[in-house]
Amino acid sequence: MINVEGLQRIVGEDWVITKRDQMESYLVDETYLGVRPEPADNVVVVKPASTEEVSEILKLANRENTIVYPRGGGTGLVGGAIPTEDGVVLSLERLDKVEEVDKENLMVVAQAGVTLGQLIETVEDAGLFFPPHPGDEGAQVGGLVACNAAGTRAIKYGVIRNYVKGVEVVLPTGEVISMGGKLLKDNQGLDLMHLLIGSEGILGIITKAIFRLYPKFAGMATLVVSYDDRHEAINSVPKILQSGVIPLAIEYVEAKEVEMSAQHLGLKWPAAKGKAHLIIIVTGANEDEVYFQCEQISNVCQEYKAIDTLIAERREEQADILKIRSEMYTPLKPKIADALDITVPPADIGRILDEMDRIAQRFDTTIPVFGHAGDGNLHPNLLNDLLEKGTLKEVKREIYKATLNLGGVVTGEHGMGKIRLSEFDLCLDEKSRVLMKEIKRVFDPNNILNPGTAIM
Amino acid sequence: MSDYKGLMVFAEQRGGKIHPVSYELLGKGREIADRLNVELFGVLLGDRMEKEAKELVCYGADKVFLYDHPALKEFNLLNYKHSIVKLVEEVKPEVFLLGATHLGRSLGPRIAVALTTGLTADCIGIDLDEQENLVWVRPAFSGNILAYIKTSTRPQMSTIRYKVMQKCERDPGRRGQIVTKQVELVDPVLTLINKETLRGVNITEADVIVSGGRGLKRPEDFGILHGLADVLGGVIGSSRPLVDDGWIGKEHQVGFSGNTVRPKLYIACGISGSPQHLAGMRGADTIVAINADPSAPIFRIADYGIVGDLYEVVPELTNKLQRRCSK
Repeated sequence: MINVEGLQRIVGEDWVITKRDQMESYLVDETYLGVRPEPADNVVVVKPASTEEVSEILKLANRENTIVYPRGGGTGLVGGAIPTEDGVVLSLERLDKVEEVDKENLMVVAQAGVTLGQLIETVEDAGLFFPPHPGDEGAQVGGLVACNAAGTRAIKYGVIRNYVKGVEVVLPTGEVISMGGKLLKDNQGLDLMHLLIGSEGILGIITKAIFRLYPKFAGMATLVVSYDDRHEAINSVPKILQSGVIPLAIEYVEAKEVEMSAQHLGLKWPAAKGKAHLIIIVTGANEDEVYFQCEQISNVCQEYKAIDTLIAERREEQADILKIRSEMYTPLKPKIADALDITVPPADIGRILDEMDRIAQRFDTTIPVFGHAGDGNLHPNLLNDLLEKGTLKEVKREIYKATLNLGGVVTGEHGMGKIRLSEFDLCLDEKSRVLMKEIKRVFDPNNILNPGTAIM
Repeated sequence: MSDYKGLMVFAEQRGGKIHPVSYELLGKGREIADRLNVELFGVLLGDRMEKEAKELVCYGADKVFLYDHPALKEFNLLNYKHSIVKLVEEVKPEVFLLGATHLGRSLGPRIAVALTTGLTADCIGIDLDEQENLVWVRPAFSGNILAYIKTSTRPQMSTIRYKVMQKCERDPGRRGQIVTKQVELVDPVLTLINKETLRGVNITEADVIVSGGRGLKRPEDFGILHGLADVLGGVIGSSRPLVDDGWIGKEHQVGFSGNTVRPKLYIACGISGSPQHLAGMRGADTIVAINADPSAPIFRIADYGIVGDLYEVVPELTNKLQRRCSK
């Protein structure tokens, strides 16, 4: 039984939802329908307004053995936020203040419920820049940190983990602790903060984070390079990185899917030719640096039979290209059973594409691919026909095996969530699994926080 | 190059109305023409546009070349280009300006290529250097850098963004010449049969939007919202889930992946207010939220919040407004 009255005493009556028809959007996330877990029947949604209230809720839950599912923007793709057992969904949406943009230390302090869109806007208004862009701007700070999100623009300065300098965390037992700070170096004891980053809400609830910022780039340009052959496109990616240019992002997309996304948004995809495209974002301290990089990239791409290179300079054009890329999931959704998140060493990206062609041929299907080619992270899309043929699991397993053989991982940025745990034994050795379970037990002795997620 | 003299502005019309960017270009053109002590020309193509041609004079043109013909009523790339290229070759203006509208952006480059001259697109400023050559100012690389560009060929052409230049005060007594030109039509490759608005609704331009979300129980219940929208002279919007479920067309969708709207009044009925939705409507002047759940995020950005069942509140509101309107 969930102690609704106890929750109401903590947050006030208005902030506890018990009616099913008012909580539907809190029961799902963006996980593909073919693999999305069903939410449990008895769920209560609670919306605390402060770290203290989060702490009180966890104390109550821990005392009464009630399961708690932390929830941010609900933009995850692996069911991490879905309440699969009876319990409480704890939404952090009311912790929505950017507390400080520290222009002297180049840091921002934001509460967990601040959306990515809000964060980017506030930081840019202050004349600074937050480089990573993990897709949906409705994602929230707590989730970005808990899931170590990545997305585009992660090549030059890395994934979210590289930006987090401090967090405030409420432990499953209710204690509040701060980790890290506005520091660029910190070697005090074991690094608990980095254990929390990417822990998918099983070790504690992140209520606040400090991110490192960068000065605004004076110049930024987006290139769209088109190819007739997808292998040529992918193979040119490691060569670009080896040439000495480090772009902010290198994205790989295929013409059919990217055009669908553009159409869905009412925008126009700028490249008319080619079957596959690279989207490359370069930044520089001045115009010359940006031009130099564009030229360098264009030279490499021409060696790999690129048929066309477009440069978008205007802010609006660049924003449209990024938006079209970020929204590729939405129109594809009805056709896709599951989208994977494999990552291989950056130089092996051509090899994994060959492997996928082989698998597609063997199972008589097509596997459209897009992804963050610059960091070896690809999203192969498994279509609904595999569900009908009953070969979805087998195809997935084959792709995973090929990935692991190349020294890769089954998830680079989406996380294990609830739907990737069937591969847990495949990708981690026994001792690692035991260590992870022990760490979970130390943080959460009663196993109340997001059970059945991230590890097993 | 010295036989090129004067400035020419392409006056864009749609549905017989002059686009305001054309008046802005005349304003800037006037300023430069006065500094260089040369004439400012306008060129206008359309059907029965005599009155509008005079307007161009009121806003600063010394001479307007008018191409009046039923076939020029709607924008036709080939016919427009043909007439303008011939005119430029005849009059030889040293500067030719177009608005950076969709129309200007497709027409400008064609004219430039036909005249083998350079065109600087999307400018936000014009300057003169010491030799009285034009210097175009346009943003480059995300708008953080401004590029200053000169054109070595004549005429110096550019498309200029809307709402960056100032138009002159309208002077009804201003005198100028209107020269009606013989219209030569090129072979019609395209003929406009009819204009149809895409499925009726354009919510991005509406002043009032009544929007529905998951709080609606059936697709037919959009009818309740229609009642309210009709009284207020508004249109219907929707959050993403209902569009995904096929309850209403994509053109009604408000949000990050739909339309971004800025109406005077936005009434959100049964919309919880996901970040995805808020991104599309928080620019509205006044936001009214109706939702049964007092904890819905939409109330955090609403100017007025009504906690209640939309099935009771909306009809009541519609009734009250109707009674007030009929009084």
